Amino acid sequence: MELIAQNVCKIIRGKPILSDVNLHLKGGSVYGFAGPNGSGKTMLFRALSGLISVTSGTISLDGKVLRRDFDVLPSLGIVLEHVGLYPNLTGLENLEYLASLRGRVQTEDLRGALLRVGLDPNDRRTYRKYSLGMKQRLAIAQAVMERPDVIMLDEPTNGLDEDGVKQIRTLIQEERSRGAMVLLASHNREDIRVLADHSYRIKDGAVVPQEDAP
Amino acid sequence: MFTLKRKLFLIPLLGLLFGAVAALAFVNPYSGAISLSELTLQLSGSRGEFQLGFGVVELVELTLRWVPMFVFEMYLGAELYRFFCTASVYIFSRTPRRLSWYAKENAALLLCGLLYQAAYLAGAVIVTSLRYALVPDSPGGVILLSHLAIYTLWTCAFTLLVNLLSILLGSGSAYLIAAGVQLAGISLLSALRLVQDDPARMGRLMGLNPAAHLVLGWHSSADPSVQAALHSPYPGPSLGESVLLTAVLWGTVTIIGAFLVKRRDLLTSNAEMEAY
Repeated sequence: MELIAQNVCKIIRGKPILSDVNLHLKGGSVYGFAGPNGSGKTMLFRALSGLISVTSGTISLDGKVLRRDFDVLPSLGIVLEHVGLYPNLTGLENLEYLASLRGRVQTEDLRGALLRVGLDPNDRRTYRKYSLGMKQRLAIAQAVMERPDVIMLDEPTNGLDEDGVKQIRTLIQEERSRGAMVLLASHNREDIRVLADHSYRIKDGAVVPQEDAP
Repeated sequence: MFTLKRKLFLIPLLGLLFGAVAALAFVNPYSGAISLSELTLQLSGSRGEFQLGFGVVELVELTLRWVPMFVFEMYLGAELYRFFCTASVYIFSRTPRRLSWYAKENAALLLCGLLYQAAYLAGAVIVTSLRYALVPDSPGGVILLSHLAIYTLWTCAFTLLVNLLSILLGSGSAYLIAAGVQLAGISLLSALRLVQDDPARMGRLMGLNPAAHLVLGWHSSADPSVQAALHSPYPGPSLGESVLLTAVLWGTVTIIGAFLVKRRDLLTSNAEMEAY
């Protein structure tokens, strides 16, 4: 499985958000993207996933072009910052709703995903009563529950305690072992250092391999 | 439409309730008996055996008859959009083909609209038959089905419009615009008074104002029995023309929505979430 971005640019209201991004990513690896707030990490994930269009350049998965052959990557799990779930539903109900969109997994898989991130599938509390850490864990659970080929995690350890960070790092390593392509964006250098097989630095929309970064 | 699966019973329940209230408020046969055709005409603006006029009081009463549609548009237009926005990333990341997702959602919306309007008419029929002697007549069936079709398509068109405008402006502004356009249409009906003495001009003006197509008492029909039941004093459009117009309205909004959903970067200009 190969995800290739060629000369990708994204300009919004005259401002370059992504500048000439070139990437060649493969399954079974973790790719770390480090950069300060506002550097373009989230936009990069939105572009690579197909959630937004790009101004120029192409993004392709195994030869098929994004936004031409499909609107969004066909087997994708994604966590973006500041995106919540449904406040009146429990954790399991949230996952059930999202899983119903593709119909690929059973309830047992959802319960398993919740356990993997340290949440109780039998918890009857609704999302609105979750702590920040619990919300983050649930977001990660929805990203991995369908065993997608591509997983994009934007700041996955935000709001987690030490045990939570360890749990999520273990989960990411398990997903890599399964053969998934994991993209990890974090301003926490330790996450990148521990997990990433390849790392990049993003600054002002430009993506540079970490060994080449100034 | 996941949210509605849990609350699906609310749609026909609300429709029934509004239909019952409409029957109590607007259906008044003078002789204690009323035909199905007359009942339907009174639900869409007629007062007793008299068709809707163009005075302020009458148009305000017409507006009150549209309240059930405004409520549907508010709930399924604005509220549903807000619900969708909460986790739109996680929904769209699971829809490799946005257009087929859109088509499915739109079909579900149309079904809900049909259920709602059918329940509304059922509520009105039930309450009326309890209060008066309801006389089924064959033109009544045609007029009732026309009411169902016209009001369903209109409601769904404007509900979808609220959803689509919400993408650009946020749900609050979107709903105000959609409601405003409908209220403007009702207000402009008063202009028909100015051309009352010129049937040809009146007919053209009626045809041009979409709101006029929801007043069934102004319609005509090629079928003599339906024409007799309609007994419109004005040269209005035919029932078939109004069904076609509202279908074109719904179709147009649907097509525009398809372009918007397919092409727009929904996540970078989400007015509801004030995102980047």
